[in-house]
Amino acid sequence: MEDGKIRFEKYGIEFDENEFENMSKEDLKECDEILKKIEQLVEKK
Amino acid sequence: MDEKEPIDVEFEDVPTGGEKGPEGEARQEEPAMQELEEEQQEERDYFAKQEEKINGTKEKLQALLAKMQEQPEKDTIRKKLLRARIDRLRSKLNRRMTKFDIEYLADLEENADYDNFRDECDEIRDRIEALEDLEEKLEIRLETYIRIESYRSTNNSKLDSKIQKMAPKSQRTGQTAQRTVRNAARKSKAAQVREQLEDVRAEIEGLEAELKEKIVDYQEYKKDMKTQTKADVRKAMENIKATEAEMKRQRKEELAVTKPSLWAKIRGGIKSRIEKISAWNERRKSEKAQRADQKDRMVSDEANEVLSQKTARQRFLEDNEIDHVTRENIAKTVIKVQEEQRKAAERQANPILQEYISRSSQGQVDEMQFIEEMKAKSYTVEQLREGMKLIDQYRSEQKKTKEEQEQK
Repeated sequence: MEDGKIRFEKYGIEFDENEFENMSKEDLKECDEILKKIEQLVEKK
Repeated sequence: MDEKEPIDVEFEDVPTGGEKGPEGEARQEEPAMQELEEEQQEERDYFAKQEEKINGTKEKLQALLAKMQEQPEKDTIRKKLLRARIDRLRSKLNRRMTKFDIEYLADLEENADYDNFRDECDEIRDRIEALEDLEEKLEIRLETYIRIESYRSTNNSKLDSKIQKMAPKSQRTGQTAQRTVRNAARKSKAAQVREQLEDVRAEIEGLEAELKEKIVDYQEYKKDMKTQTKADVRKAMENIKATEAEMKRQRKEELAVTKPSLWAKIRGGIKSRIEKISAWNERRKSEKAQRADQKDRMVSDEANEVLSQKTARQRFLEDNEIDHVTRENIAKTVIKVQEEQRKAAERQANPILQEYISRSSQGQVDEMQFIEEMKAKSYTVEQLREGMKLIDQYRSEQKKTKEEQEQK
């Protein structure tokens, strides 16, 4: 938490503090789409 | 030739002038080229790294999605943690997207403004160039006119001298009438061109000042734009933060109402249980105290009354204010007290016991000897048994009393 990283220990994946820096509009849109799918999974009852 | 040979030998390994030039230049260029190449490589590496990172982020998100589909989180608390982390990820992406949009729009605006600025500058520069061309032409023209006028002036002065010489002495003024008239009528070509030249130069100067001012203004404007963009980004981030906080608060409230957490349930359960136990304890204590108080009061008062007065039993049985259970308890107590009184009377009436009490008050009594003595006094077996039984009771009572006294 202190280093600003977001860790998903169970899945062995972590994201940096500035993970989305230097991305173009297209890249950001792609990430947004994937994240939406992830959010849908978490929201499922 | 003999003198030249050593010279040839001396310069054998040295390149000739023709060879020396390009190679020397190449050597001078080498470090600069190397530096450029290094810079280029660094830039290439930087952008490659950036691209790799961006692709890495996308891959990580895809991998997270796939893994979450494969191994969904079942545990409620872990699921909450997972959701919180995804919310953080979403927040970062949203912030980045907002920042991008603001910067991108600002950049577009700045580019459009820059294009306008550049067009205006180009226009001024074109005008300056045109004026400079004109200036050059005018300078050439001025030079020509100066030369012509100088030539004419020389010729005229010669002619004037001749005319002066030809005129009568009284009319020699040193200046011809023709020249005075001509000078008064019009300016010389050279003077006209000089004026034009001055105008052109002034205009160029004005335009250059205007250009300079425009550039300074634009630099200021660009600085302001950057500051404004930063301020916009900061404001947008603050708005996002506030919105997220509000959403979080609403979500928490909603969850608390519709779906209380496990901890909330446990906390609620414990609280309710503690309240119930406390209330029950209080009630029990109060009832117990009340019962004990009532019982003590009634039993002692009524028992004493019954024992002290002959008509008490009658009054007691007729008293309707006392409930059945209490009455029964009092009756039992009365019976018990009466039984004790009866036993005491029996003890007092028993000669064997009285003998034993008398002897024990004087010292230790040998039980076997005492029994033999009592037998000798012609008591029946029944009387002896009864007597011994009372002695046992008496001894146990004595022992009990002694213990109580010791405890006190």
